[in-house]
Amino acid sequence: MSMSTPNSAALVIDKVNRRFGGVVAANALDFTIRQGEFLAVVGPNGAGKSTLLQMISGVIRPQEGEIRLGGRRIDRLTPEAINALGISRTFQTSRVFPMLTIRDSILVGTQVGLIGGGRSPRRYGPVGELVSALFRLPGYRASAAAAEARAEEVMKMFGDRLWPRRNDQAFSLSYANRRRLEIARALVQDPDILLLDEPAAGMNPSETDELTEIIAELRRSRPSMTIVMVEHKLQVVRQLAERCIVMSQGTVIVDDTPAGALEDPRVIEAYLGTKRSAAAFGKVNDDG
Amino acid sequence: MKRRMNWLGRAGLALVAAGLLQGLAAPAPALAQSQDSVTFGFFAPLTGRFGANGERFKEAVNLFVEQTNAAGGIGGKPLVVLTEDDRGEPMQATAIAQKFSENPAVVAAIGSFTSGNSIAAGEIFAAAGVPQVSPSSSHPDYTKISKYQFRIPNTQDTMSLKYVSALKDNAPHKRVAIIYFQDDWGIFVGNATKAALEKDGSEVPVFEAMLPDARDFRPLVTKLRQANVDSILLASHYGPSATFLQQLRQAGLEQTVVGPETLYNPELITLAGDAANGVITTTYFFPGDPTKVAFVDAYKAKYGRDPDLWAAYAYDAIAIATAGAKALADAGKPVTRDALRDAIADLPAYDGVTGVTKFVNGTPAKDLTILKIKDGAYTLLQ
Amino acid sequence: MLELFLSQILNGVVIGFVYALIALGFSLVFGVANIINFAQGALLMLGAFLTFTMVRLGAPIAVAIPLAIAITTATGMLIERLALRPLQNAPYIAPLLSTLAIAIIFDAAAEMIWTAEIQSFPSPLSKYVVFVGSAYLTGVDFLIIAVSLSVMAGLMLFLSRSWMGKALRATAQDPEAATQMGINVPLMRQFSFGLAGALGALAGVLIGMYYMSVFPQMGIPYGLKGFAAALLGGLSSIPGAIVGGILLGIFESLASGYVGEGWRDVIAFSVLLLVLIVRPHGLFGNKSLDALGGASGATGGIPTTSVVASMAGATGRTKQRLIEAPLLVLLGVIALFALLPALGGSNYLLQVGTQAAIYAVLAVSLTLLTGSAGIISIGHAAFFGVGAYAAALAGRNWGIPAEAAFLLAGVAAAVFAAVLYWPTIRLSGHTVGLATLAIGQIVYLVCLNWVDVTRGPMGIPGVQRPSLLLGGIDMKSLAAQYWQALVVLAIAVTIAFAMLNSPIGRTWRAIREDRLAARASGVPVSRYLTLVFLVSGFLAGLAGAQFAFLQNFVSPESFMIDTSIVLISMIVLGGLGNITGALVGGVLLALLPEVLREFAQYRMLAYGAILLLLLRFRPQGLAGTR
Repeated sequence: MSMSTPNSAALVIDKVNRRFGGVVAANALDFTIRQGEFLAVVGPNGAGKSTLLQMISGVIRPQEGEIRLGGRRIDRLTPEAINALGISRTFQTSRVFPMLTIRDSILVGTQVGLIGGGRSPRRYGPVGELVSALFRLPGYRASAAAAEARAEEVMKMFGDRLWPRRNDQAFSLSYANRRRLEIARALVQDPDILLLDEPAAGMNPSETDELTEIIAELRRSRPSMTIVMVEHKLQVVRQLAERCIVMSQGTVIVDDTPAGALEDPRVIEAYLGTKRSAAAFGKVNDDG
Repeated sequence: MKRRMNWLGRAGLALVAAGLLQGLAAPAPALAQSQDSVTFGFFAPLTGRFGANGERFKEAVNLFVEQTNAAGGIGGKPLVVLTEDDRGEPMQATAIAQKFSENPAVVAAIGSFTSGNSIAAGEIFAAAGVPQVSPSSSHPDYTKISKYQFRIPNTQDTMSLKYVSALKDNAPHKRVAIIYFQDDWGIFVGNATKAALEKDGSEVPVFEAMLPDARDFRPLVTKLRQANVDSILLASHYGPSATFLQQLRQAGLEQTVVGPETLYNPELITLAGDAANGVITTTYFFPGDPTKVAFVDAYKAKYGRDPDLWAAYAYDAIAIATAGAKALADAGKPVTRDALRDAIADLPAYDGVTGVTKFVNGTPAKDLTILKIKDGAYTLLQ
Repeated sequence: MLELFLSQILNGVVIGFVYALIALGFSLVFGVANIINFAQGALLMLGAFLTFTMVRLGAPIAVAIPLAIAITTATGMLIERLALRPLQNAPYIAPLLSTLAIAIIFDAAAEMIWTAEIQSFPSPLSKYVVFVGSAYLTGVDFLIIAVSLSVMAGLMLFLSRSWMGKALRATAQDPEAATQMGINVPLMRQFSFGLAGALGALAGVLIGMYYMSVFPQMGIPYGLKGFAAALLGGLSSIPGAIVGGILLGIFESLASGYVGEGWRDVIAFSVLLLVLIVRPHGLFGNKSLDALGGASGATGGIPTTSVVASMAGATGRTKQRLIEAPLLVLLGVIALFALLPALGGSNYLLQVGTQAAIYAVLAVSLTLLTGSAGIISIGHAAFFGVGAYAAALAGRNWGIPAEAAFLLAGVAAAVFAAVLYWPTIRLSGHTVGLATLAIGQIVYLVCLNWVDVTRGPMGIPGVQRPSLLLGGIDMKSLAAQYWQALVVLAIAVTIAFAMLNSPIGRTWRAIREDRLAARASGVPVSRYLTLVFLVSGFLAGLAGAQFAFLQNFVSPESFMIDTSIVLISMIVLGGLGNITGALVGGVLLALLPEVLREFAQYRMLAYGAILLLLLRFRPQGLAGTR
């Protein structure tokens, strides 16, 4: 595999089609995401952005076409198998584990690393894990302790947002903190590819800035991590992304730098259906 | 969020547990403790799916206690019966058995209805040396538990031969269908009658179980129609049997139906109506029998209807235990558990409402009466 | 031969319409209120008995039936108001149990009012008979078919055309959005219960006519068939209920005709299970309803598939006080109880105490499966039974020591649990509950029918209490059995503790809370569900072995659905996923019938009422949900 070479193809979306009844969510989607790239996906509601992330992460299967990771076809794999290959994600609707504490929620993300498989060698079979957990065998305990340390490290990345609340249950968190928790749960896995589905939705301007800064910092510390982000707040897209694709009715209409893409008249038309001023468009969307 | 349970909480839980145990350990009624009475423990399914049978038991037992005490009790001491409901569940039966066994006043146990519960409780009574008289358990294993177990009916194996002879004397029997109820009694009777019929040269082309709770017998009736049988041996309880008879006669099948004593129940005629006519059954007890008139009249006066076989079983069960106690009292001996066991085992042939009971290893060998339903009433056939 | 086949199909269609009629009530309530109404069987029984009583008092049947339907409708609405509406914010499983408690209360009350006996029911139309091949149709059959079809057509028209029907459907799809549209959602749910009551009463009356008899416990067997039919059809689908009912009837009829009357229900439930494996949403099922609690999630709350989430979604959750004793405290309490024989505890106390310990082990076992991993199991008695039979048969045939017998029983039950519950891995929400119910029924019926191995209803008498290999200690006395049960309980608690506080337990809870998010976070769900089946099955098997040794007698009636229902009540009562709670709930409910023994006939009534009140005032359980 050529994953270690910068700018090689990490993820290939190859002529993918997906319909829901009469609605076309992916229509011959065909593009390549390079390793280490920060790709933003924008477009109006119903353009198929979330469906794209659902298909990459295995939640939804394409009806036609292929998705390949480093040359290996992944579009028939289960979500857990895809995750084990190094693709982590967040959800548009913030799927946290409501009754679990922040700490436990993040630790769930470490489970696949603990038992191995996918990217790493398999370490515990089902019965082996059962016996290790039951008798608290040293190897298993050491792995669990390492996972806890990793979770602590990730929680502290979010300043005092998560760490002081680590024993609070997820259902009691604010909307913004649930988003942070989801991102932390994905980051704790140290993924090769991170899929973010509207990470800044529901955040106020200062929270949005804070999140943008965290992602930017992540980018600096882990430049090899590929990030695919669906986001409505164009200001976030401009600040973070290196490449921006604009989707409408299941197809890519523009593939450019964020600045180039967001100025494109086809984009404005796709969003508003009529040709209005770019300024008005930008204003409406930047307010989120 | 996760809080450790504080000491107060733990103490509270402990108190609740202690309170519950206190409730469990509450002493039996004072009367039962006194030596001025003779106390029996009676248990049966008074609620649940066998509730109807248990109720008949209870009515007969209460009637007998009333009559006995009105007539001066046992050697001047009143007869007292402690009643418990086992719901037909073995776990309840064993708990009740322990409760009776450790109550020193209880000298005999009467129960239960199902063989399963009688056996489960029987293991405990055997260990505690409490004589147990089951009104209705006919499972061969029951009296094998110990010398403390007694029963009012014959065992299922001897009974099954009698059903077969009732069938052969009264119905064509080249091809016989056997329908049996899926419980311990039904399976045993089904297999035993099948063996007996086949040994004597009859064919059994239909041999089917009736599940508890089953009420739709049309597929079975369709099968019977195809099988072209001469007669049907129906080893089932009266409730599902009534529904089966209705569906059988609706389908226009007119074969003679012969059944054991479970089909001897006035409710069968009420439920099945005309479909019950022609059914031949055996029984230990028949209220039309002039020799049983005292029991029938007393029962009818108290409860407003004729006693059925279950009432008769229970009446004899407690009567036999009482006869044993009376024999001890008459001889001037104290009524203890072991003495009572021996007294019951050594009773002379007891002529009760279910026929003459003389125990051999806890089981009697009685004769049966054969009945036929004519114009909506049981009539003596022989 | 073909004639026989077609005749059996016709027999199946006739009984199938009866099932369809019962299934319609389930489907309606499930569609609108998103809950499985266990009280549907009780409503059916009520309608039948009200008609019976009025006819017996001299009312003409044409007056009695509408009156009975009206009263049952009002009863249905009252049930919603008293037992369900207050539970809006309770864990999702609470309303399910609330309807169960109502069913228990109704059954017990009916036995007291009408006695437990079968009563004959007026059925004027049944004397008209038409023969078709080797089957036949009566006037009642035509009436049932006509009523079923017109009720189905009427319901479908009502739901699609009338304002009320549209409001009901809106409530079903998205209660929060419906509220914002000005629809009175609680009223709609109440209305659906009323309608279900009417349908139940109608079904009860027609069943009474069909069998020409009624009995107080009729709600359970017919309710079970109605469930199965509704599930087969897809739970929330009106035509699905009819098709499901007919198919179930045909399967049963063919099973009875070609395999044997005794195997009919085994085959019916097995077919149901197969359908669920191939089509988890039933034949006409609607995928939008499968994520229970997900409907509110879609409109802003936290999406979750959790059995401990409430109907009102995340917003309805409140912080609760969690009582969770440390392992050493629990073991200490168990050790204190071990002193009972020394303190002169009577045999009765020891017998009841051992039974309570067995129930406590079962509750711990179930709280791992249902409480932690979120698999609603209404068939748990099956693994209890497998353990009991394994221990009894091993003791009878090989005479092995106690340790080996326990190990064998545990392993046998674990393997059965993993194999039998495998099909439920793909299912979600209440569908799992119904599938496990079917599995429990299958195991019970196999124990009843497989006479060669289990001796069927005759049971296995004379089970010996084996000695311990370790030191050759004789375990024949009751006190020894009591101690042995406490040791088993201590082992079960220790295993459960180790599991719940390990990464495995955390993973189980994550699966319960949000299965999709867990999978997307890399959790191999089927692996962890298999692990919970194994552990939970193992513990249930230990309890089964102890049961066999205590009772000296094993028979199928101990492993019926009633036991499974009691077990699930225990863990909800104590608090889901909480070991302290499972122990408290298990011991309390095991002792309750004994404490209430004095009240003999009111016992079941009180049992139902206590369950109802606890659900109402402490739905998260006595010790809190973890």
